[in-house]
Amino acid sequence: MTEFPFQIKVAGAPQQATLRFASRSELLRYHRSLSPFARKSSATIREAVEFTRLAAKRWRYYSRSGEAAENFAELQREIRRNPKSEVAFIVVATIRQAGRDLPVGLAYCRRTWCHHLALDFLAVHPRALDRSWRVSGVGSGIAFGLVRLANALNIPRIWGEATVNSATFYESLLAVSSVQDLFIIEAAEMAAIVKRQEKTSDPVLATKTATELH
Amino acid sequence: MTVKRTKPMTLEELWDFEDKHPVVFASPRALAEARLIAELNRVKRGRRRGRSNITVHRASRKLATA
Repeated sequence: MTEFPFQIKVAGAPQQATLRFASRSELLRYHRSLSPFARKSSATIREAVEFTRLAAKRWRYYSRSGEAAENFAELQREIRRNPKSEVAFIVVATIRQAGRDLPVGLAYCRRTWCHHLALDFLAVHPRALDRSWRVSGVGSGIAFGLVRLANALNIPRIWGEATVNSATFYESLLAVSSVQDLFIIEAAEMAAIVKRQEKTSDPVLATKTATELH
Repeated sequence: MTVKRTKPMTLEELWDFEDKHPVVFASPRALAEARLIAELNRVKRGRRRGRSNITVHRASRKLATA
């Protein structure tokens, strides 16, 4: 249970992406891959670079004091050691292209003291925001991966602060109206998110995802 | 708090939505904390650099007086 596959669309065709825990080296690679986009004119791309860099710095800060996990086993170990511990981790979404794993997005999360999952940063990689590459569904795919992770850890709630920019996304993702300061994903929403990922127009991918996840 | 449900989007509809509304989000509190950590790191790096410059300066002065 270390990888969580999900579907996205690349250049109009369905493709499988994978969500997994970021190790220190993977985070460094992700960080380096941002450089070509740092001076782009698009405010969204610059924001994606800034948020990702800040999330990585925050993770390293917590990692120095032993409050961050680099993989699923480490997170489980920490929860067993201290059930009230707060642990930060980053998950990275990648796709396989030309024999290489290309990052397409990440999320910074915290397992809170009361065994919930707080989502602090959710950012698509600037490369995937480039219109010429035509990548769709990374954000909702990461949300699906986080639901699978929550299921694997018996976490009953994923929550986060919403902003004026993110509220409509969470309203669409969760099929609720008027998300304000907070969004909350619990059993009913989790089930709907999983069901939607598995109900896709591409039967081959649908079968593959469903079997890999169960 | 009561939550008003709306018609769920299909995966394809959600993908279209994401194409028009890029997913680049940060919780305001997390963002503020991360910016503070980045600033602290910058100050620490600056101090370390300053200290190492003093050491180099002292060493070169010692060499000059020897």
